[in-house]
Amino acid sequence: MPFDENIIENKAIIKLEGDIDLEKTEELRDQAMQTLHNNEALEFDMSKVDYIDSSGISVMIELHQEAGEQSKSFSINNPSEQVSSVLKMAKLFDFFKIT
Amino acid sequence: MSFSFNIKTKYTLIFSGIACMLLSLFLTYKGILAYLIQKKLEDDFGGMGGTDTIVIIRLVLSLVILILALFFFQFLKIKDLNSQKILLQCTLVMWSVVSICLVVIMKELSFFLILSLVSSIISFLSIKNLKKEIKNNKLKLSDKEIYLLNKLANKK
Repeated sequence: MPFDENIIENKAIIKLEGDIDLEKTEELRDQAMQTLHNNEALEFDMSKVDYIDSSGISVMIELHQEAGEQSKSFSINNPSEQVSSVLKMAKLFDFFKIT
Repeated sequence: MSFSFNIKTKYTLIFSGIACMLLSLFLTYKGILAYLIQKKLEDDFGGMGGTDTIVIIRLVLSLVILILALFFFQFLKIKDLNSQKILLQCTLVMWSVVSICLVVIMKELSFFLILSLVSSIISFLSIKNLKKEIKNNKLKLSDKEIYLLNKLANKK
């Protein structure tokens, strides 16, 4: 798996680091969708993300919607300053569950 | 205490262009001087004719550096930040090599040694500034991206 994953009692945490851009989003989407399918909740630990582009945010939107359809939970943990800034810029900060 | 030098790419390129022109003028002067001395020696003592190698080297080098100076001014038209970064990295390498060559071969040319060292430092600071600028630009989303993301978020 390209991204570190930790599962505790049906809750999966995927740890993201560095740049989340077009090069990584396809792999991230595949892994996260699979993980969400196999668990009740999915969290992205984004404390060490240096940069996220629109393709990265679109993956998070898809996961949020997929989780809603499956009555599961998707949230973002400790977003870095850069991630928060981009989410606010995109006017999507309140769209996600951020812990 | 912290110092910050915001040297823009265009100033580095202009400075490098001017430095190259000065170096080119100096080499032209030295080339012409060598030619006149050679001619005088030939007139006074006779010789085999032809042009001395040192004259040719100096004038050719002068022409190459002049072309390089013109390139620096042409590079001002480049707007892409990543291309500018590559350009500045090449400029830094070039001035560093020139500085080392001057230290090793011609220490007496202190003015040009200082000029090349200053150019190297300016290029280095400019690269640092440009990297910051590239990073800040990466943290921006276009209006179209924001619109599409919001459309995606609200479609269901």
